[in-house]
Amino acid sequence: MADYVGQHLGNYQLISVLGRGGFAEVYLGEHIYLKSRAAIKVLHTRLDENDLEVFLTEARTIAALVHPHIVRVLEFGVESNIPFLVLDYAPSGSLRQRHPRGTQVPLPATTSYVKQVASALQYAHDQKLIHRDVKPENMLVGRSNDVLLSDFGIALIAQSSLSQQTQDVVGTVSYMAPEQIKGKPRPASDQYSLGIVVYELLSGSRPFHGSFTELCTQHIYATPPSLREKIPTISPEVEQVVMTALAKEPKERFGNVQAFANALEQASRSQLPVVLAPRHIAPFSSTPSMDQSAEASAPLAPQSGEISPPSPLLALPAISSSLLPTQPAESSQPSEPDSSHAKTEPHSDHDHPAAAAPTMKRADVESRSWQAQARKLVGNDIRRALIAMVFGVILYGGLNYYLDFLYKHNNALAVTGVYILNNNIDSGIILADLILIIPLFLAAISGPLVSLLTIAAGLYFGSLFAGYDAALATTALHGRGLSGIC
Amino acid sequence: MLIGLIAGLAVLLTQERYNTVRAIVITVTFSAVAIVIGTAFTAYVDVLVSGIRADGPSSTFIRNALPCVIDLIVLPVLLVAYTAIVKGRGRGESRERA
Repeated sequence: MADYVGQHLGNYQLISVLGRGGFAEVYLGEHIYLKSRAAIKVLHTRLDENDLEVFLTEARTIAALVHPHIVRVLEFGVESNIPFLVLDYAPSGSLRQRHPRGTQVPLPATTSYVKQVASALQYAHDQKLIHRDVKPENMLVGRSNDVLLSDFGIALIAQSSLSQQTQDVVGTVSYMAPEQIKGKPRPASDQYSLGIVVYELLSGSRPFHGSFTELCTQHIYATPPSLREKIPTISPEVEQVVMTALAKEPKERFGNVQAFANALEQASRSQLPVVLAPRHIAPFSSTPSMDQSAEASAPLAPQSGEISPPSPLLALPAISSSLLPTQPAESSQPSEPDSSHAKTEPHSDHDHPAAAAPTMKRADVESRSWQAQARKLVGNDIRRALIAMVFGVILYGGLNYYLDFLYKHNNALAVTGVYILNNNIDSGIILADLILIIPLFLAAISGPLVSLLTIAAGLYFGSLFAGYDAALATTALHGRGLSGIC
Repeated sequence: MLIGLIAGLAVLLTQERYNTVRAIVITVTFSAVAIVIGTAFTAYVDVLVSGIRADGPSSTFIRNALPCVIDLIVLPVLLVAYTAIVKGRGRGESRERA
């Protein structure tokens, strides 16, 4: 592997190696005239005549991508048959560095990331371009804590015109859609990959693990493990959204990646707010603020040591990367295996795991667990539980009223004896048993509290409106005690 | 109320998701247990405390609990239908917003 430090590529002098990936090396470069810094990505190949034209065609397409959440490709070039790219500098590393493996990211933060990345992906898809390599390592944190998607189309170039080592595929296959594994990528493939990213951010681990072959097989055939089994605080709606994005068939996913982000945002709103305990401030700051991020990216950054409140990422609007003087991020190398990240760590303090943003403390987990258990008593959504209860009381109470009315008037529908297995049972009891399906169903979908209250209120109001006095109504009558009079 | 309380405890295991046979079996099992306990409690309390039934608690229990078998048959059908509706509605809304 050649080392180009000290050499010139285009108008840039390569100062140092930022990282090495499977099919590219990333250098810190300085413009020889402007003295501005950028990330120079040198691909591990030499192009022949045929490859050159393909490469340049694809390079023009990628360079035309201008979006606030896409790392801008400033320049493409080929010198001595060596292709290279000049990229914007993202100062705060990648989401992988901010959230090391095993870290559970809160839903609001995840939703914020997804919105930004989906916006970038949707823009590219509208330009008929598929990213093909969506993963946390390729999501860089900009100077304003916005998320920038990098390596757009790098995989496209690498796969179509350059050779690619097997280990590159291994490094990326964890996020690869089934149809992409089969060699038929499409825009929905990026949505699937983003779904894997969401799954990983929320739960701290990817849905599938194993060797290259095992991963491929699981992506194609296996159902992802339940997200809620790993994170009980996640609402069913959020899980449903993620699982839809992870559907094996592209047509069963959301119509487009923006729809996925919208659905996730909508679902996250339906989740009850969770109050978290104050987070531990690590020596490197557990939640890098704008200032801290900038500090970490010296020398271009303003020097400010103030510690900002947590989660600035959520509050700050996205700022166009084209407006920011950025420097190359060591994480911007494409499709690199994890080992390559280790090589980049010495280049910035914020790579330290302690610098990772919102990591969940035990208190957070316990708090969430307790709240999750509490929520189970009324279901995951109080509004839904209330609606279910009102609906149940009206329906169950109405039917009880009708049944009481029949009893009161000695209607044959209620007092006729029916023989079942040699037992003479009043038809009224059978009817009472049948309408018990209402609270049983509510118990299953909304928890014990809703069911309990539905039975109590339904019986009470049913009997009351039927003309029995309240005291009698509360004890329920006519042998219908099984309806829950206990 | 006892029936509703016990049957509702199933959500602790199923987490309100009924896309697997296991979850439905758990729910039906909890419902069956709830019916047995709730009905038995009522039957015995009726007889032992207020003496409403002249034919004994066992007979009362059987006559009250027997028709509930229908509920245990209908419940899985409702849950499957509910799951299908919720799933379909969720996707529909998402695509509409898009």
